This record gives sequence, C-alpha cells and structure tokens, in this order.
Amino acid sequence: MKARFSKAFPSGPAIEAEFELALGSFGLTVLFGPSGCGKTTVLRCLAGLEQPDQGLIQAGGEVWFRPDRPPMPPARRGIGYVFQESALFPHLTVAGNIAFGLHGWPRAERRARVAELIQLMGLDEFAERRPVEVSGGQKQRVALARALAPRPRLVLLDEPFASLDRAAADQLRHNLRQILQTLGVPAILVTHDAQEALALGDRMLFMAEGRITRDGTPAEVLSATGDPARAQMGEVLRARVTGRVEGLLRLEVSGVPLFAPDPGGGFTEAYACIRGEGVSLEQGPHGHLSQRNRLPATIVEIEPLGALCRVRLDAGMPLEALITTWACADLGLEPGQTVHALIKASAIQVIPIEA
Amino acid sequence: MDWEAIRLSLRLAFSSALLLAPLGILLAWPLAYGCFKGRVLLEAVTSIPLVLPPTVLGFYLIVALGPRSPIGAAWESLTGARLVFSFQGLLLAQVITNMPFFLQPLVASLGGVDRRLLEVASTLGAGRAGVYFRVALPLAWRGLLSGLILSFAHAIGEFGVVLMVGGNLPGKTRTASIAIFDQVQSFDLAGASRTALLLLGFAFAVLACTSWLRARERA
Repeated sequence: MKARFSKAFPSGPAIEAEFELALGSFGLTVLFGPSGCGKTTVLRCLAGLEQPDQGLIQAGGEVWFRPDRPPMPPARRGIGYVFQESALFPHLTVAGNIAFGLHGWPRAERRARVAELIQLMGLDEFAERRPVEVSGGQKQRVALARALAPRPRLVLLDEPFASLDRAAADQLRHNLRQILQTLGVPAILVTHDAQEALALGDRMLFMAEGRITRDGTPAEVLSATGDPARAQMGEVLRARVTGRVEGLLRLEVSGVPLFAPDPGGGFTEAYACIRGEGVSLEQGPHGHLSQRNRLPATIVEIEPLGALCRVRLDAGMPLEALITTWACADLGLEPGQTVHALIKASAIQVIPIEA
Repeated sequence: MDWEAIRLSLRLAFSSALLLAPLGILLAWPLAYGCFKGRVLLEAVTSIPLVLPPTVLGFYLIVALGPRSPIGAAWESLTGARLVFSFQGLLLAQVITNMPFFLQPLVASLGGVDRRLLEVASTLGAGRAGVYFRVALPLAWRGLLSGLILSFAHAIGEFGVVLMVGGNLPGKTRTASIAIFDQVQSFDLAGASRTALLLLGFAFAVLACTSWLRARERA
C-alpha cells in the first residue's frame, strides 16, 4: 500500500502523511505520537471514513483515494477497523457482531468462520450474550474478532487498549500479536504509549504536529525523537533473557549481563529501560565485583542540569547516570575516565517483546 | 354511538399507517443522514402539513386529486372511480397529512444513533443501504414505533383534511371526528360526548405510550 496525503483543519495544524506498507503478510506498524497529533485522522483517511484534501492512496493496484475521483467507499477497501471503545452493535449478540461482516457468505462458511474466531479469541462462553453483558476486555476482543472475520487485507487499530483497565489491556496486548500473526494480517496500531509501541511493533511511524517525521524500528525511532514519554523511560536497550533466578531475570544486553525484576510470562526477548535516577557511580576498582549490576564504564560526556548532572557512559552498552553536581565534583568525574556504574535492579523496567 | 364511523376511522388509520411506514422509512433515510443540497427543501416539504391549515392542505389535495388533475384522471381511467370523495382518495390524503408525525420521531432517533456504529458497519462491507437497514433502523426502533403510533393516532383524529377531501359520506368517508361534528350540528350532544370521550381516552393512551418510549430511549 502506498499513501501520501494531506488534510487541512480550520483549527490546528494540517495532517501530512507519507508511507508505504506491505500488505499480504503479517507485520505490525505502530503509528506513534502525542495525543492530538493527528494519528486517528490518518487512520480514518486510510479507512475511508474521512477524505484527505490532496494526495493519493493506493493498495494492491486499486486507487482508494484521488482528489479528482470519488473515493472508494470504506465497504470496498477490505479493511478491519477497531475503535478505542469497542463500538459493538448493541442489538446483536457477540456471535452476531462477529458475523456482521460475513453478510453474503454461504451459511455454513459463515458459521465456521464465526466459530473459528470465537475460539481464537477465547470467547466461547459469551457467543450468545449481548454486548452489555460482557466486560470491557471481552468487548474489545469481540470488536477485534468482528474486524478480522471478513479476512481484511489490513487491520487498523485506534488505541484499542485505551479504554480498558490495566489487567484487561495487558492480557489483550499479550494476545494481539499472536492472533494477527496466526491470521497473517498486517496491522497499523495507533498509540501514544511508548511501552506498548516497544512491546508490539515491528516498525514505528512517528508522528508529531500532524506529520510523520520518522520511520524505523520502535527502539530506533524512540531513541531519535526525544519524545517526553521516551525520555522518562531512560535508556531503552534490547535484551535477551538468559535465565531466571530468585524472581529476577538474568538479561544480556550486547554481551553485558544485567539483573532485573521479572514481570512474569515466558518471554525470551525484552527491552530493558534504565533511568538515570537508578544509576549511581563510584570510582576505582574497590567494592565487590561480584555485585549484581555493577559495570565498569567509561564516561563519555557530562551534561550539567543545574543541581543535577547527566553523565553519559559507555558500559559496553549506552547508559546514563543522573547524579548531583556536588557528587560529580566530589568524585572528580571527567570524560574519558573509567568508573563503576551501579544499577539498582528495581530501577530497570523490563518490557517483554511479544513473540 | 356511530360505530360505522369509528370502524371507518380505524380502517383508515390502519391502512394509512401501513402505507406510510415503508414510504416514511425510505424518506427518513436522506433526512437523517443525507448530505445533499436539497435536504433542507425535503425537510420543509415533508413538514409542511404540520403548519399548514388543514383546509389549505385539503384544498390543494382536491386540486391535485380531482378528476381534472393528472393523478385523478389516471386513477379514474384505471379504476373507473373518482379519487376525491372516496376512501382511496382519503387514504392518500391521510398518508400525506400524517407523514411528518411519522418522520419526526424516527429522524430524531436515527440522529441519535452512535455514528461510530454506522462507520464500523461500513468498514465491515455494508453499503449505504446495509448500514441503514441493518444498523441504523434496528437501533432507532423506538423512534419508528413512536412514529407509527403518533401517525396512527393523528390519522384517527384528522378532521379538516378529511372533510375537505372526503366530504361526509356515511360508511365511505364519514370518520369518527366528522361524526362528532355532525352530532353537534344536529344537537345530539350526548352522542357527541360519547364519541369525544372515546377519542380523548385514545389520545391519552397514545401520548402515554410515546412518552414512555422516549424516556426509555434516553435511559
């Protein structure tokens, strides 16, 4: 799919989007950016629920949008759309909702497809219930099942976890990639949650003030953008799980071993997020070298921030420590110097990467 | 009591509701969701019977349905009977007169349907008709029912248009409300009060029904 379009608004900045996306096989693209930057509008333009002013949207040899022609109606684009709030049809049962897009299918095939999705989503008990009778997490599962049932070429997910409580969101997030992968459907997920983007995305489009400014893997894009949510996460490092001991994970980040609290789940790949506040420095080789998360490091740069200073380190992996200016002077820190970085295990946040 | 007139009123009201519903359902669609230039005009035309004096409406209907009009002439050549001062002519006049009473609650209910549900339906492959008949209309059922009840009730009570277009032929066009007028004219006040009381009770029941429906819709 190729999309290049713009849409102006009487208030706020215009939306400009340009990207390509492979259809036909699974891949999860995260459309990431702060609230109000126009992510939802991009999604709605792709779905045909809104029309751009200018540009071109093409998919598989079909033109979806061109300013000089009537746009292709949403019904014929072969997309699935999941809203922030599930937007289930209240007059239909769960099974009826899932079957909605299968209008015109032979009866037996329709039944089989509905049964398949109900099973895939773990909705067996709820098939004959009305939307008001199921929980928020289940509703969103039904909405996803409904969007996937007609075998769309592309699924558009507009912050599908935002209206859920944390437990339900975690559970659905955990299943989402697997489900899309099983069905082999590419998807675009809109989110402003950096952790969600890291956990789920293969690719990230970063959007700010109405424009897509960066395109790459989530970790790359996040590191490059200086997004405030990202800044709060500290250093985001790709890690491999090499063991689990006493409730701690043993991780390896570019060959450097780290211990961190285990959030649970059988994942083998993760991001370790290390905030500067959780890192302290000491000089010289004294202390127990066996101590966990004590890494020899070279000072790369010292950035004064008033009462604090940020010390950028190379410990075989990039790392930063946020320490008081007073401590910095006391230790006589200078770029090029070798120190030991102590990372509190509890200061490492682990984001499992969904397989 | 003039049972013949009451029977005729009921027959007329049922038939007009039966004709009016499918027509109104089709008209409500562009009125609720259409975005075309003529919408305001359509809105005005379909609500004219609300504000026009029944005699004016009746006058134009006589002109439009009379034997020298194209409609009246076509009807006469098809059936051999006149359209004005007949049950069929009265029925047609009732459908036109009562249309706004059917449309207004239905269009309001359709307007209250969550837009996202309509959008979701369109992404799931439903065309315009599919979105309307499979999602919007089932969700606006309370408005549909209110509209049916109101237009039925108004058809029972209509006086001016009926008198103008139908005249006062017993068993053919003499409805309950016209019977009351006749009874008063001939100083049969007891008869008039019985029929009037019946219509009052009916009107009350109808309004209770519709306001109950409206309250449930808001809930």
